[in-house]
Amino acid sequence: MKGALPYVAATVVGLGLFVMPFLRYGLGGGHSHAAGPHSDHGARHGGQLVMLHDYHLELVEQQDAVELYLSDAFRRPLRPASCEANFDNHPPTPCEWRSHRSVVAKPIDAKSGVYQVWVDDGAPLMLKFP
Amino acid sequence: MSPESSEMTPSRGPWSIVFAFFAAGNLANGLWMLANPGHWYIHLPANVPGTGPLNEHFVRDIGCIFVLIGVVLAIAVFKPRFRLTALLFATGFYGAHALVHVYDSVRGLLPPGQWRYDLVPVYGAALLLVVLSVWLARSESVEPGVRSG
Repeated sequence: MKGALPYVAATVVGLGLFVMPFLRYGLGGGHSHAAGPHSDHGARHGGQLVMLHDYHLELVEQQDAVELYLSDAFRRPLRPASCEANFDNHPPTPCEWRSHRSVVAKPIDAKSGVYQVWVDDGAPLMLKFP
Repeated sequence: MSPESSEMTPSRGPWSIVFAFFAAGNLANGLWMLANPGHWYIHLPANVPGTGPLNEHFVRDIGCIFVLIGVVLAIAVFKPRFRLTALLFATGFYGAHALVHVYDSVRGLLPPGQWRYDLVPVYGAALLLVVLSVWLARSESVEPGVRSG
C-alpha cells in the first residue's frame, strides 16, 4: 500500500496539470472576466454594440456584409438559433454562421437594415440599424 | 517519486505518469487551437473573449507552442534523461505566461477581478511547475546517473 502512494500522488498531480487549462469556469463561478452582468459594454470587434433585453449584439459593417456577434449579459458569446436581415426593401436574407459570428450578405447600396436574431428560447431580438 | 529506472528505458514510474498527463493536456489544448481556433475561442472555459476579439492566426500561433510543449513532455516520458530539461522548458513558458497575466492585470488591460479566475489555472499551474522542477532537479542531483522514474 505504501509503495502505491507515489503513483497515486503522481496521478493526482498529473490529472491536476491536465485539467488546469480547462478549469476557470468552475473556479470562477461560471462567469466571464467581467465583474458582473452588464458591466461591460465595450465593442470587441470594432463595431457598434447594442443591448437587446439581456443580450449584447455587436454589428460590424463590411462593404458587402454585416457581421453579428451575439453574447449574453456576461459577454459570453452565443450562437443564435437563427438570424436574418432586411436591407431597405430587399427580401429577408438569412445569416450564415461562420466560426464564431453570424454573417449576412448586404447589398452595397443598402442604407439601413432590420436584423432579427432568434435565441434558443425562441424570442426574436429585433434591431433597426442605423 | 524516487529515482527508479535507467535512461532510455520507457518508464512506468510516478514521474512518467505526471509527464504523460501533462503532455496530454498540452497536446489536447494545442491541437484544439490549431484545428478550430474559433471553437476554442468560444468554448474554452477560460472565457477567452473577455480578453479581446478573436484572431485566428494568433490562436494558431499559440497552439503551436502548446503542441510543442506537449511533444517535448511526451518524449520525456520515454527518455528520463531528458525530463528535467523538458520540465524546465514547460515551466519557463507557464511562468512567463503568468507574469504576462500579472503585468496585464496591473496595467488594467485585463478586467478587475481577473486574478480570481487566473489564481489556479495560471498562477497555480506556474507555481506547481516550479515546485515540480525543483523536486526533480534535487532528486536527480541526489543520485546522479540514475534518472527519475
